[in-house]
Amino acid sequence: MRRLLTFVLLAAAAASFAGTRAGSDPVALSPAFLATPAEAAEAGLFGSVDRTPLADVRPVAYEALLPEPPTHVAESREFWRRVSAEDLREGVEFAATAPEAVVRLSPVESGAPWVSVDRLLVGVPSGQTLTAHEAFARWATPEHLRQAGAAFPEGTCAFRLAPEAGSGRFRLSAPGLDAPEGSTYLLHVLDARSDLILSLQAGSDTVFRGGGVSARAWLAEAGSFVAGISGDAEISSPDGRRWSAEVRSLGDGSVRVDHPLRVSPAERPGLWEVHLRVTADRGGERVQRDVHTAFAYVVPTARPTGDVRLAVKKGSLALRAPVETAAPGRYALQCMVWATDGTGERRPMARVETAVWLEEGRGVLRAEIPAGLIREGGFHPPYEVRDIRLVDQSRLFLLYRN
Amino acid sequence: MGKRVLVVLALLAAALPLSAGVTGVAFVHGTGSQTNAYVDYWTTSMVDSVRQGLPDPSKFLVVNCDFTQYMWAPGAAGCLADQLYTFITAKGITDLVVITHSNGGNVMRWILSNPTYDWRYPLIIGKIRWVNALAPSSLGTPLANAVMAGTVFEQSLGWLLGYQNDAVRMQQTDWMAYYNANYLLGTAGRPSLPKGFWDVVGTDVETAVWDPDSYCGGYSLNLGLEITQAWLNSCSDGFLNCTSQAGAGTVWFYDEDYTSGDEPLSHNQSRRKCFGLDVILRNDL
Repeated sequence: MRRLLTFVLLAAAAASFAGTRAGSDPVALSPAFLATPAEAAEAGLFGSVDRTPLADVRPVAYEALLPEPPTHVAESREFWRRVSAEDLREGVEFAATAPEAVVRLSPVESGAPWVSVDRLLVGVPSGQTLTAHEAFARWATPEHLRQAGAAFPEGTCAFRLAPEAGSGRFRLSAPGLDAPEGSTYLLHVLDARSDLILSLQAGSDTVFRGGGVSARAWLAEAGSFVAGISGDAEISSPDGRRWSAEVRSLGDGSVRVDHPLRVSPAERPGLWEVHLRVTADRGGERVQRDVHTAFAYVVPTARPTGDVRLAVKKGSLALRAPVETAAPGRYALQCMVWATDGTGERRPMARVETAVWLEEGRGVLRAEIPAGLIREGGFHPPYEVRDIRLVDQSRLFLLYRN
Repeated sequence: MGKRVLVVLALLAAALPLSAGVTGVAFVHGTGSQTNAYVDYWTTSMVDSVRQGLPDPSKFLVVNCDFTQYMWAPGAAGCLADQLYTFITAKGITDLVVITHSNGGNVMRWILSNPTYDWRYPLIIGKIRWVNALAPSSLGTPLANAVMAGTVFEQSLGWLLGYQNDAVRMQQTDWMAYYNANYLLGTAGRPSLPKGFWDVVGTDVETAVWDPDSYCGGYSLNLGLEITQAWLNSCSDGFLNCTSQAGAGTVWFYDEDYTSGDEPLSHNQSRRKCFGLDVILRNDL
């Protein structure tokens, strides 16, 4: 028997803000510590509690492996704010840097009456006040949006400004709006044709419990940073908790959001979000943009405790990955096994995934690549394991990626 | 079509005709909770036309699940797995073509991407010939971002929690970027899916009141899409950018390449008997 050592499972560098990944190598991720059983018990079982051991091994089409896309950068030409019914009756102002902005109005409370889109008036930058028929290129009533399947809040209307309405400062009013005291609406403006874009990129798509979230944002127009931006940021969890986060200006005109997350996991499944609102002065006009990006907040319920080892057994290839867990759950190992093909080229031979229910403590995840798969592909050593991932399928935590 | 050529080649190579098995077709709806998707989501005329392509047209399934939930949830992928598993085993299906629409593609892709998540998944994956993904929201949609807009800075806690269903939340572009990178296969940089995932991409919305084509699938449906399209690129079906629809698996065709009269398919039309889509799908069985 010949044993082949593969890659050591070590923590790797933190994700770079630069974002571009080479080849298909994923951004590495590794917990610095294992959660205590008490910490692990706080994480909800939102995923699989299946106790059936399962493994899946299949050949990989090398040609299908495309370069890894850059780390997600959220972009926005949008902004929103809450306005009262009284504000709307008197007129609310907003700035659009390009013609043909799209505006939606949504009642915030279910009791707030709908705004009749065709009765809106718009003060346009030229100084005129136009009716809906004059100012809008298109509009949609709540019924149009509902029938289209757009999941906006009930009572939402929307319109697109006509090109002739121009760009600059607008004043939107609903003079006949008959709404109870305290009724509020969300005014959401999409400056669709604007070159002014707010971008936000998280430092990592995963934050381990006790770690911190960081993100960088920049407001750019035609490829150049807009200087002098200021902003507010919030972190939100899937169960509705919110924290204000620090926003710092960097020397290059961008801003950075940082916030430590020494908090318990969410009581609902889903991702956490960084929200950022910035304002900037643009030629004397105060402009606004809102953006958010998502990340996973993960309790390190398990970690690798050694190498993924490969051993040849009668032509097949056995994988063995030792792990340590902080809580019972269904844990999965995913990886790509590379080999040399008949032409001497290094290429992925198989994608391997194996999952098993493990109790708290030490355990092993195992899988086997059948001899037939190796033989039929004409593969031979050296073998190596790449893109190793450890997943807590019961809690939907990606715990390790390298 | 390239896909069909591939099939022929595969058949020749394997010398194992697909007709030797029992072929079935399953229709998987998009976001929403369905109890009668046969009538309400797909319409009977669409389903009944497509299934005529089966050797035995009775071997079809119209899935009804709660796709307001996250794709992995028991009411979503769990329900889908339940219904597919039961259909396959009860009808003896050995060769299953799955037709998904919109977010149904994500739920299907969850099953294909996570073969060790659930004991039913391996059998289902094994029986699938391929998935025809009609306008799949593989990379999410800026429209979901827009729908969720304002929920943090502007709203109360109750609004934040109860405002939208999890499926809409999940189809925000930043969320789908995370799930594609970490839980789903078939997008750029990720291993391929175990079975073909063939995208049908809708490229535009037409709403001319004088154009009868605008009425297929419902004229008023398309009126709303004309506004929602503002959040999207110039190539979109009113709900999804073409890049999202083409973001996982392989593009089978862009609507205008094969539809009758080279008509585009809006997001609502890509689940209806519009411009010969039903015939294209029928001939693919």
